[in-house]
Amino acid sequence: MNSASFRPDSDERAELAWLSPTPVERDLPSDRHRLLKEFVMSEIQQDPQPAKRARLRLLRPAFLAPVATAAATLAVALPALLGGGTPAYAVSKNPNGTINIEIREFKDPKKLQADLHDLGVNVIVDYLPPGKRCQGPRSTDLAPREQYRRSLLQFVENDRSSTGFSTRLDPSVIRTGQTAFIEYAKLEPNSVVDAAFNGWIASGPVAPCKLISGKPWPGGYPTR
Amino acid sequence: MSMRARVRAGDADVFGELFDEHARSIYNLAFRLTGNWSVADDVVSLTFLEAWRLRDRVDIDGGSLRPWLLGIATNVARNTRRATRRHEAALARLPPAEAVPDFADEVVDSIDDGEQVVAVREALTALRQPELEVLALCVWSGLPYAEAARALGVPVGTVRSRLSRARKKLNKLVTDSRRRPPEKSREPQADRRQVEGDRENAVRSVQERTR
Repeated sequence: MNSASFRPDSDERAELAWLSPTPVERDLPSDRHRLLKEFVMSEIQQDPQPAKRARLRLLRPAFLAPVATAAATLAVALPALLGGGTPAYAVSKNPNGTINIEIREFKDPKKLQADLHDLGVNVIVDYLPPGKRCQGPRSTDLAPREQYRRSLLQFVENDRSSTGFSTRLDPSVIRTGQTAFIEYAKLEPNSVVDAAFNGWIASGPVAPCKLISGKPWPGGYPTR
Repeated sequence: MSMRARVRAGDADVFGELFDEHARSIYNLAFRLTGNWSVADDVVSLTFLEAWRLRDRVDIDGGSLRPWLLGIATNVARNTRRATRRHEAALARLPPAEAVPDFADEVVDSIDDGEQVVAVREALTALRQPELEVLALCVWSGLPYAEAARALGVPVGTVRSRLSRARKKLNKLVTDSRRRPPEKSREPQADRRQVEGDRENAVRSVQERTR
């Protein structure tokens, strides 16, 4: 080992800094910063192309996931007892225009969807059984996440008497001509939580949910 | 939940925060590694797509995620082609950046810009890629050696030896040019350092074995 290797870090760093002065920093142009950020956010929120996913599965299981996630996603513990003679879901409109949706049983999503349509909300509702997800991407024309972030669909703390899974939908973030699509997932029994949801807004057509195997949104979701 | 936990959990919002906080560092690091602002623009997006892909490798414990992101950016810049291939479909959806001049035709409109171009160009031509990477991370981006080592996935001793080689090469460059420093301001210090450094080195070896 030569003497150079024994230099304390700070001295070597100082000398290198002298030998190669730190270049002046340049900012990303602000519109480019915004555009790149939107691009990255939209990419990580979307499902990969199915063909690509199949191919990548062989290479790297972790890549299965670049997807839908978190912003409007939440997961909660569902009481073990679901339903029990009550309707599969309940919908109620709040004074501020938001709509509470309580899922008690994972059945009749299209009936729920029709009820929401009757309330004037252009939304597509799907339920995902454990171990299933919708094949994606369901839309190639997603609205920027900034438009709705956490506000499209939020988890609502259940009151003690409730047996269901309560969420609140804010239709005001859906603009004219846009379609929201929301997915409620019943998770596998060994999951840390029992159910989860996710929601998006598309400015173009939304493909019907074709169920395939997989975690609902492999990107995960924040837990409480 | 900590930022690291949120990254691991795949919370997309946290990636937005990371983008706002670190895109600039990544952009500049990428320019220093490639000498091309357009490539640097690509490296920014690719770094975050890669970070998303690799999010479950983040340790729950630790400080800022900047070293992690800079490490990913370094890997992306080193092999832009591979990263581009991996995210080809996504990149096809990204509007191209407006052309930004790079070295070949950079319009130098201030002394600072001029120095920047010269510093980066000299380092790019004089150093091998691994040496350039540690120079950019440790000296220009200011990462502590240990964090640069973690970011690059190499032992800290490797970072030191690469920096040492970088220093020698840059020194030679300076020796050959007008910027040579006074010789006596460096030599006596080098002797003193050897004693201090010896002890430090012994400690370091033990640490490395137990890693």
